[in-house]
Amino acid sequence: MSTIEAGASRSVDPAAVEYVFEPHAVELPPIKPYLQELWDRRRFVKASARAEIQGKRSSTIAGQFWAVLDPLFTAAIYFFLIQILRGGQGGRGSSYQMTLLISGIFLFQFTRTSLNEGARSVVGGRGLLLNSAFPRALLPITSVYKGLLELAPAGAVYLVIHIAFGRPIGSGIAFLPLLLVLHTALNLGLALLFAALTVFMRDVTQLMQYLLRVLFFVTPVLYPVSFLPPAVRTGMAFNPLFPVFVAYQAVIGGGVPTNLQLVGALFWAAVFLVVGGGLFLSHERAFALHV
Amino acid sequence: MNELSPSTSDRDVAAEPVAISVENVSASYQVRKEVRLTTSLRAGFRNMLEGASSARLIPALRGVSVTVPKGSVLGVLGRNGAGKSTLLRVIAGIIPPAEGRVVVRGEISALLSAGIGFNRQLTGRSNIELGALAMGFPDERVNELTDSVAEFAQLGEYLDFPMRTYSTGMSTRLGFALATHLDPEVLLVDEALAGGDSKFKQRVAEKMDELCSSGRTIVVVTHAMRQLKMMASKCLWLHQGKVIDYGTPEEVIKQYLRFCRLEASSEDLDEE
Repeated sequence: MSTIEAGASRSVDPAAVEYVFEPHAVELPPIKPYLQELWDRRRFVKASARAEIQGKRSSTIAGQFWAVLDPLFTAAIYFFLIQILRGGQGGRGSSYQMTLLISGIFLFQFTRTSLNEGARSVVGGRGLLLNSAFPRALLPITSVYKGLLELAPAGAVYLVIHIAFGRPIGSGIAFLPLLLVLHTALNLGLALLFAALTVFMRDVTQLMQYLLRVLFFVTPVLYPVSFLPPAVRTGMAFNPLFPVFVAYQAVIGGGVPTNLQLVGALFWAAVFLVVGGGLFLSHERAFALHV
Repeated sequence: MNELSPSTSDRDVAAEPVAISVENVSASYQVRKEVRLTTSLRAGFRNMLEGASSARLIPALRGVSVTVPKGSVLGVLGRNGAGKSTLLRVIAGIIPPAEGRVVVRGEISALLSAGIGFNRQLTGRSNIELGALAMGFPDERVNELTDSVAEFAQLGEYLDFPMRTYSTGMSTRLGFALATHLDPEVLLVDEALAGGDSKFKQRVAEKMDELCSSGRTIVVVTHAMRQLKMMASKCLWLHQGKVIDYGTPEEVIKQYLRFCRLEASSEDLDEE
């Protein structure tokens, strides 16, 4: 007979499962069984993220075409904005900056969705939380996965723009999957951290919009990193999004990310996964008492 | 009326394998006063400080013990705020006990008062899928489950409509159908028997009979005394988080109704 301490899991033989629920202590659950439970419920993450995206667009006429229309319109707006700011003057560097800007906005949107929706995921999932026992980390994971799903069509739109502008595709493209993994891990760590904080302090959801706005401007999204004076660039070491976005810019420009950028991205992803994951998992049993 | 610890007093139960064991469980919720909005800065600060210092622990269960043998039905009675739903949530592992211990043998499916956490913006189909997947239901059987739940709940073409378009009865039917079709070893039902029309109530009664006869363990919270008398093996009466009585449905319901009448008449006297 398998015994599961303070959780809900499923074994092959349901009758052999035994659950033991004892007073909540602020401590991490056994990590391996917890990860196994998350893995067993991976289809929940996929189905929930897809259903949310579909639900949001189900009453619109364009329906699922919005998945492509959204990034297309965003790109068009920034294209015209840049044209106006430059007084209609293109110039040699403009296509480079345009691709950096559009890719940066799409990639930052992934972080925005992960943090905004991730922070609200537990409080917003009150109905499910109070009626089912399941590993609560599924909720912020779903928000990050939703951001990733929305990034896919944006990526396709960007590829067309990249080619249309005649930008080169360098060997740095091989680093893109690694950068996406590090970016996703960082977003997940941040989503877990803010989801847990929101349960105990609802003000976090109000503060989130300002935090995201600050991050948007202090991260190289609207400008190439080369625009920043060296002193400012050193200060940016404290911005967790900085290394991964600078590495993206290197790849978009046809180059290769430096080791420092990759190590920096890995460092921040690990820090937030450990801090955010630790805070979330050690407090998740008490969430139902506070939502 | 006697206050007792059912787990030690119920001798019939000792021979049966135990499905649920609730041992001296207490549970509390933390509540906080809502911060009132005001146009005055001074009152605003005062409200903010009051809100921050107003956290209170509200005891919902106090030293509750009960044992439910495998394949039996426990009915839980009590007035609003007695701790009935909290007891179900503690058994389901949703709320941790503040004291004591709960042991449950077998898979649990909970149908609690708010449904299975339905997202009303999503379709009935999506909600069935998500409810089942969150409970760890095997992927490959989700489609089959969706069909049988939709058929039982008689949703028809509404299965692919957002749940915000459903009537209360349709949501209730869907919640009950989902909880009972997840094939649980232990089923926790809260007030679900009261919803739906007479035809659906008949189907509910049949489904509950089927689950009882197939050896499932059920804990049901309801005010439907007649149904409780028919299906429950034992009844537990909770009042202000404490066990007041435990025994056969006839005995406990009789005591409970006498208490309700006494309380009603004392309220009448107060009013006079």
